[in-house]
Amino acid sequence: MAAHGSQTLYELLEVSSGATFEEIEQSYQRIAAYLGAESLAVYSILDSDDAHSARAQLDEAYRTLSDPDRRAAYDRARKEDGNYPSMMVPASTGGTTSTANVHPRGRMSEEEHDKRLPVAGRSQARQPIRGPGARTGRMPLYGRDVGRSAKTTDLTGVERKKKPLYGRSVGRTDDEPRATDPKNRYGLDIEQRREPRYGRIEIERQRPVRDEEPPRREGRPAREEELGGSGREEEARRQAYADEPRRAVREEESRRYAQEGEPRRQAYEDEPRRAARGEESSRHASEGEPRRQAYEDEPRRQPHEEEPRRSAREEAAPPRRQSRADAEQRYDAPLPPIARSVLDEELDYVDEEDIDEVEVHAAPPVVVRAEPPRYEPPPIRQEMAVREPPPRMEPLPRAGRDREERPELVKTVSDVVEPRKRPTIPPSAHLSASAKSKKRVLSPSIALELTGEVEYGGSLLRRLRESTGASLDEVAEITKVGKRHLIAIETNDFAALPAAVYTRGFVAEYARVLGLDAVKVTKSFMGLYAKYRGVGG
Amino acid sequence: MRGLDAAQDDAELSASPVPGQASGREIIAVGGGKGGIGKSLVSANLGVHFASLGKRVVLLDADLGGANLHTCLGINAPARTLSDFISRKVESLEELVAKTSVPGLGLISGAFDFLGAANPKYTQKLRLLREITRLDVDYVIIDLGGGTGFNILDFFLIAHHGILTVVPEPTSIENAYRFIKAAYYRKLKTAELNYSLRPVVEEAMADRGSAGMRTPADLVRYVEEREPVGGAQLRAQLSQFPLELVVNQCRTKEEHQLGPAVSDACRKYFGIPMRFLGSIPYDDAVWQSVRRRRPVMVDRPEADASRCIRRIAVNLRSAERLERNGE
Repeated sequence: MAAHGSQTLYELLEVSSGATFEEIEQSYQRIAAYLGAESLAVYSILDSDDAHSARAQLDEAYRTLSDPDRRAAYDRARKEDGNYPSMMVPASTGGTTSTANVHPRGRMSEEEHDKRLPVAGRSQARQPIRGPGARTGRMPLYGRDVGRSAKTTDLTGVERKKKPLYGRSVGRTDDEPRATDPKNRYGLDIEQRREPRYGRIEIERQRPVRDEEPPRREGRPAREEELGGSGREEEARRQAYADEPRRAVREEESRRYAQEGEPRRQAYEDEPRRAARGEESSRHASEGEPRRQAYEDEPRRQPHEEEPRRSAREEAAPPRRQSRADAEQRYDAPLPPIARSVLDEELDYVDEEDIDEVEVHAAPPVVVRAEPPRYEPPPIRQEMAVREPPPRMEPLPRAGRDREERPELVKTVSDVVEPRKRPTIPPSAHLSASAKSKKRVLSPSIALELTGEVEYGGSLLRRLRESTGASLDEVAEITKVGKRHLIAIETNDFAALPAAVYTRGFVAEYARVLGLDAVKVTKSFMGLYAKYRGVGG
Repeated sequence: MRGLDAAQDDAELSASPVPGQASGREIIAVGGGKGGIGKSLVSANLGVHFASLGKRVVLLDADLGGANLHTCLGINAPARTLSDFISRKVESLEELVAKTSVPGLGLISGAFDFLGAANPKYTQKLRLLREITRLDVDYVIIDLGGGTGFNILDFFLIAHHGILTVVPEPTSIENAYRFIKAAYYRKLKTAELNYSLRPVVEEAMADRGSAGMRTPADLVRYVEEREPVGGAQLRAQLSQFPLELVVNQCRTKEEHQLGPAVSDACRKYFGIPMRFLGSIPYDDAVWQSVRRRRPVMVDRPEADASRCIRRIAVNLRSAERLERNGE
């Protein structure tokens, strides 16, 4: 719901800011009861996305407020900044969009943020653990899940970029079996890794591990080069990610991320902050702070990414930078991620010294894809522009359908002598030759009869029809009224005529064909009909 | 809930004062937006219960065009129905009250003809509603039909207690929420609003199909942004919207817990505090008693369903808000 954006975590949990842990716990359970995945209570109030994000917000609030340290930090931050938002969506969530991925530390200064990296590290380290064992901790299941994804957004851009993004998990579907592989992408046994993850003790456990880790390789080129990632890398990462046991647990969320992740990532790429990332990462490396990151990177990079990437770089590193800059300058616009990665790939293989190979390695489609989008009017429009307007649609060949266009009833001889224009009965292809050639005008002698109050019996209609020279067949063809009905009308054979409502329609059609006032004719005829049948009229 | 026995219920009942209007008349409407969810069960058995406590109760079958409350009570279709009142064949509703097998419990049967009383004109309906509020009894229990038609909502809105019956199924929940919304919007439409507030409310109502305006709370927020004072009045009105909830046909523990959750969700997303009165278990005694054409409270007073309905009656009468009944 829209209102959540401005709510504090306390408001989200519907507790006062002085609430005890028990109160928070109780309130959380209560709200989680109706926001639960299986809950009927919000059915039709929230759609599944809304419910999911509301749940995520709730879990985030609970996770923060139920932890004394985090709660204290949150309260401090609220005091420091009156406008401190409870829920804030970082612009660069790398593939995650919902407010599930927000964190109260979202607005911290960089220094503050760096200070807290161990905490983030803890949550980050927790992240890969998904699956059956995930229920063992103190927190409820989706609380943990969301927390993990939330914390990914809290990391530096480098980590975010390096992690398999939810946005990249395109293609993973619901019907994939739950991952049961006991090895995760670190090659470690799940059980083995799960053990130290929960509880507060894990910070202490994590730290020594980090200290034992070798420092980040200093000689590594700026991270930016690697980040774009070639298509193959993307694929490899996606694959590695898809293999993880935790993925199965989070299928639903990832589906959503899959939809929204790419624009997010784009936004992230465009973010100015990214420019500073290279130095930021090198600073981190020199401080030795995110060694855990290096630890995480190491095994994952090995099989798919590092070898081709490194060899390419060894071959063409300096010229590549140059040509890449050129390329970017040339297009003068931030490339979409796909184009960027394609470009990277292209540059990996292209050595400027042997340009010929460019054509060999860089397939034509690649170049096309790297081009900035250019508007071209679709060809179909041009065709349409020169095409002549479509021919006017022929009116239906049914006589006298349009009351508006039907000429008025002939009243005087002078009206009658002039050939009548009957735009509503155009001669059309399927009419017989005689029907097309005949002009249905009334003969003067008969028209005289029509000036006064006339009883339109069948015989008069017949005389009128014959005066126009139209045969019964032709009239039947034009009116689509069966010939036997027309005969019955002309012979006043009321017994043979159908029910009044149909007869009225037939007579009206008949009258229109003859250019008569259908209302008058039907009224008159149906009077006779009623007299005979005792009904209708 | 299930373990509660009748004696305890009755003791509670006699201890709790009867809330009500100055005249002592209490109008209870039982709706829910969907058919087959137990509206007639709840209303008939509440009527039986209150009558058994010595109250004068009239059941009004307001399912115009589909009345069958008499069958639930085991009597034949009364000779005179609401149709006669609407067509002015009788002048007062009292003349329509048919006796039932339960002393103190009367029935005003709904209309059986489809085109007349099932679709009364507005003035006819107003006259009927006015007469309902003037009936000289302790309780008027209105059994509403399904759907969210104006004729149903208007009966619901004159009640002091609007009981919403749901069953633990998405269709029922969906209809119940729709019913709440429809009832609230109907109330807004007919409410006497501040001169300056009316256009804003109507603007909001016209806009309520949009994505940002899905619930009454959204509408009130919309109005509040434009008319803070009037909006606050609306919000106060919203919080006084008389809604109570009964969950019927609960089979599992989770389903018994649905009531508090729905109540919470309604308060949170609609801004309407909905009191959860209790849930009724799925009980064979219920359908068996319907087959026998007797109210389950008469037929099987010891059944779980009967106990729970007694509990609901107690909660209905208790002034304080029901504590969450987690079973």
